[in-house]
Amino acid sequence: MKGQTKEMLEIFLLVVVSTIILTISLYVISSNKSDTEKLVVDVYQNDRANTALIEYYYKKVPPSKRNTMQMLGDAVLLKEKTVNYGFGDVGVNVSKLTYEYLDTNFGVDKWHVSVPSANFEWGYKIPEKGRVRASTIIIPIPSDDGKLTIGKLFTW
Amino acid sequence: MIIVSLVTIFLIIWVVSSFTNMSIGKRLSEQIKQQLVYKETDYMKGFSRVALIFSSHNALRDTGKLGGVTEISMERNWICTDPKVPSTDQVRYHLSKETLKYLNKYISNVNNANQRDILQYKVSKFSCVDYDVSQSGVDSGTNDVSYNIGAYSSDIEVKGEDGTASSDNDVYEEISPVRYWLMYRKFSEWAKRNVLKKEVADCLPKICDCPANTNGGCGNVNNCPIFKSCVAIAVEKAKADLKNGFADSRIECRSSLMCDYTEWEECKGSDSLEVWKNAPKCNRCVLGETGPLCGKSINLDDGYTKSISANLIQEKSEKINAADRGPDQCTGKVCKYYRETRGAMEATFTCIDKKHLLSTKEHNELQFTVYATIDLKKKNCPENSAIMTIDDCIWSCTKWSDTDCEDVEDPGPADDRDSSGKCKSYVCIYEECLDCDCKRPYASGARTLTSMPRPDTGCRWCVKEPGTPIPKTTTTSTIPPTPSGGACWRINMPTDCTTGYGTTYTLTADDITINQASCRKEDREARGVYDIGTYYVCCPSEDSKNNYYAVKSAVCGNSPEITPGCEAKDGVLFCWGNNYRLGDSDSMFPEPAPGSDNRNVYLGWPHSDCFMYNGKQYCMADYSDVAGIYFCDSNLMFCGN
Repeated sequence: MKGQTKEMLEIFLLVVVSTIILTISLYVISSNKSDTEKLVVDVYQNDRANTALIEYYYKKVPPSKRNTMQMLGDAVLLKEKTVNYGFGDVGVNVSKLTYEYLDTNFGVDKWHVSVPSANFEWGYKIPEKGRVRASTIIIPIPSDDGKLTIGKLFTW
Repeated sequence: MIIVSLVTIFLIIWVVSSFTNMSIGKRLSEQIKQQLVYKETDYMKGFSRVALIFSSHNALRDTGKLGGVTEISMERNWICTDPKVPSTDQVRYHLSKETLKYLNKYISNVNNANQRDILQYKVSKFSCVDYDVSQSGVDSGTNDVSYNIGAYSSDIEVKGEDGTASSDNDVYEEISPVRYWLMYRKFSEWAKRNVLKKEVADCLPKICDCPANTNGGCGNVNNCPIFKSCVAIAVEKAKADLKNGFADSRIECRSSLMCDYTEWEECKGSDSLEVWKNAPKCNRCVLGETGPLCGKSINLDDGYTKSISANLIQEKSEKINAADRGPDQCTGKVCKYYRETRGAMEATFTCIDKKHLLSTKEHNELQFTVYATIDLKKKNCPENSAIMTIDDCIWSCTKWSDTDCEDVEDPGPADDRDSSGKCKSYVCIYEECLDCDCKRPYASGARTLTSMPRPDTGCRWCVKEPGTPIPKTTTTSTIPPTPSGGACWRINMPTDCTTGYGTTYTLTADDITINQASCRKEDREARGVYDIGTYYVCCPSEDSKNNYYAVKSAVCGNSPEITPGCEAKDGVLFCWGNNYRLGDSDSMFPEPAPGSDNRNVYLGWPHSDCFMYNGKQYCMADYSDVAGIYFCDSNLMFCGN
């Protein structure tokens, strides 16, 4: 009887220890997996923001074929959202172009652009909670001394 | 034993799992960083592209206003009497150099900013910018609205936590829409047509009417107003030719006469139009220096800067000593008189593109300005040519021997001359006595020359008999009695009233009365006052104008020019002055009239104080002296006198 009781206790102990070990193992594995997923999401978001910014430097808007960043630079210089390019291209709305472009890239309510030197705050309200990524935008400005200004693209 | 085995298995699983996850995480982390580095190079290339666009626009602005160059602080000559159009490669050189200067400023600043998140980057300066345009492409219009540009020899180095990546930063970009090369093409075509040279050449005969003492017309001194006026019109015509070449209302052109200068010299010159080398003034010919493009040499046949300092070596005719010519060179010969007229001028021509603006901080309308200098000379003054008879040759040969005028055979018709070569009947045209038109019949009466030549010119006066010519030196202000035989009064008008208005004397000669005759040509002729050189005569007819008496006192009493002014009424600007009037030689001001309903109105003299405009009466009682009114429509800001 005494031997049976001891054996039962050992079996119980074995089950308890096994359960604890398994639980810890699962936690460790799942924890590592979650970090990896977060990293992958980070990579994705970072890549999207960078790609969008790079494309903004290269993109040309028909019919004038002016570069979008060129127009943003002109808008920053003038501190106006609409830039007049003469009779051939009167009133290019840079703000509207930026909205269309970033809405397409990040979706509505998923981005915010800030250019403090021109008091430009375009896009949507930055969420107070959640993960928000900020990317720096270097904006060249028409000038004789190579002037540039810094803006921020927030995505979430 | 079992427990120990389980713990061991667990530890193995945990270690393997952790190692695997660490490995994945590390790999991902490395990938991210690597990606960031690659993206960063793309990002910086994107920045460089936009910086290149702005730099190119700055270069277009800077070189455009100097005629395609940058290294001189003045506009390049595209015409130095003949076309001096810079080649495409020459303009490329200046554009590239200027663009590179601005581009590297952006690069310096972006290195200093260095705010790209966790990465450190360094962009080296560009050493070469090149415009991908060719002469054939530009000439064909391929680059009229856009062109490609490349910037080379810059590197990007990005430093991350785990190392450094580097890449070249060569960028190649299409710049559009900019009509710089259209400007270049149209200005080139215009310069090669060289309408300006032709028009200025047509002005050379005007110099014949200018004073002999020519001290230059640059600056405030204008030695030959008639040449200046003619050249001003020539510049306007050249500008119109330039504007018409564009055929685009969005391109506006303007011109400015910068300098004019004239000389003339007797008995010298060639019948063909020649370049007046070493003109003392108005001789600027600046072409600018150019160098090689990146890795490409330009063959420059005229890439030099000519000093703008005037070469004051003046051409002088070689005088022939009268003694060397011998005592009698006149017999059987006639002398022909002429002058070499020399004219020089400088002007700028500017066109501005209003259609496409540049991305520059200021002056963002593309402006293209070129300089043009025309220095010409030619044998002229045919009105002073004289084929003299033998008698007259006493005078003219003296002149001839002094000045190396041509001696030519008398071409006069034989049947109108007697055996000695004299005209059968003298018909003297003008008091200059430089012509003898034997073929021209006279209306009536005989004419003879005065016996004594005038001391100043050697000419003799032509008078109608009977009658006694009043000496030129008469100074009385009393109007002499009417001469008999229908002769005329010579009105000794000073040349300075040729552009003024209004004489104040009354002169009666036969049945002709002149009241307040104007010195203006059209008014003179309307009143029977004929222009005979620098003097005018009041005659009953054109035919009798060569028979007159001189009245020195009957000078052109030039009414004071009233001060022009303007006044806005009912949205219409009224400008007045005694130059505003209708007349054959009066052009509308400004021309072409920019407004929809601006025009001249001559109110007459004396005129009513009120007049009608657009069906409405306006009274200008305050301007009783006004002879002309100029209406500027409501869309105009100003008028001018």
